[in-house]
Amino acid sequence: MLAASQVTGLRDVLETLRERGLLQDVTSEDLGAVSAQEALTVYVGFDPTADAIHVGNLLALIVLSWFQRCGHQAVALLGGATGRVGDPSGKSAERPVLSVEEIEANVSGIGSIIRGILERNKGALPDVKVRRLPSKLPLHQACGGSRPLDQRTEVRLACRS
Amino acid sequence: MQVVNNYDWYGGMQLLTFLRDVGKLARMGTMLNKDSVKSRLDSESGMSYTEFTYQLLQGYDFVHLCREEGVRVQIGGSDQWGNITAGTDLVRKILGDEAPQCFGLTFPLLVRMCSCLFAPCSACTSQHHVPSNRARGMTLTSASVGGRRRQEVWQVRGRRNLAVAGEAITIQILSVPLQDDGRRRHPLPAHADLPAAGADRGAGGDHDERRGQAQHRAAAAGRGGHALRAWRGGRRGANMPVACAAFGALRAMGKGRHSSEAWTCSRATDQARLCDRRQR
Repeated sequence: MLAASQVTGLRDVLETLRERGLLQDVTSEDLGAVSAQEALTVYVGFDPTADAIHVGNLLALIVLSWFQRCGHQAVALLGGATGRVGDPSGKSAERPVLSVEEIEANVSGIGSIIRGILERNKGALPDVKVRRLPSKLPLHQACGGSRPLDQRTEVRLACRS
Repeated sequence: MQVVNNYDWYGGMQLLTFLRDVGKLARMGTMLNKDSVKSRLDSESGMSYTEFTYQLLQGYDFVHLCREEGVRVQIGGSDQWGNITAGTDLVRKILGDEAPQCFGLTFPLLVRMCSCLFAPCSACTSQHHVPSNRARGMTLTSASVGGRRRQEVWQVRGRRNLAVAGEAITIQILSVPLQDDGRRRHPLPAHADLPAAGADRGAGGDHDERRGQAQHRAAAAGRGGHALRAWRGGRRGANMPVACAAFGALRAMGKGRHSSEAWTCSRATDQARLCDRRQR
């Protein structure tokens, strides 16, 4: 279903993120060229402030999954230690101190959620290359599935139409 | 894909080791210049020494991951810029010439259209009205809360929505933490809350089949204990019935650490259209 050029491995992540308005800043523009040449390992940290992820984590997961789709490895860091200290960024007052038990419960809760999402996303890699699709075609057909809930469409984060 | 916990390397670290190996290389001037520190020092409440240390802890995470796992990029929201650059600085200073070139990258923050900054989990509890200019943002719609559909409009700061031209995004997030006593924060939707099948027009396909599969999938995921149970791309805001069906299944199970809530997120214009259809 895919043209050969669409199934190549590494892609310039910066270009992809910029096109989507998902790029605010980068320490060096070299990242674009480097990411197109070698597989990188990328990490993002999650604060264990609650036992489930919240909507603010949505973009982190989207960006991380774009790295995965562009052929890179993802690492999610859970702040089991830093959660005991509290990140002052974006906060106007000192954070409340969570008990050790709460932090540990949050770490395990968030950990299993994130593992679920990113593992699923990883499984979808061969099929998530960005494609231009005919606008009138139903999604499941456009994505090459024979049924509406084809395995491959199920895990896709976003799909161009 | 790997999940790590920084308590694994900080739990056993001595204070003196940290001060010698990390603290020695950090400059006070640089640390005081971070936005997160400056804004707090100017405020009445000030800042504790503990929180002041945070940037070094996060910075050293990067060093550790670079050395042990070969990590070369850290990403985060734009409010993380200071912590992320603390990391790239420390990598250079501690690992020196051995270090590969490391990068930091930030993405814009997700904000409510009413432009108050996102606060963790308050999205689940606070009642936010839907601003009239929702056509400009990305609409998150809960499947149902107490029999009423709740909507919030979010945008990626400085940008109309997440999608590139001609693209539709639909994401279902099923996640609601339980209260301390194990009860759900919101009543979950009954099947009666399912929107009319006509709302699903955009996606095509057999609705019953889609719903049936969603129920099956959600139940399977629910047994695995995932709070965020479904995550699937689709077209327009059309997956709401599927989300609702997934809910029904989870609700019927009625167990597990998390209860469920479905959100679909779509391009605002499509979502608005979908809502219009429901109202008629």
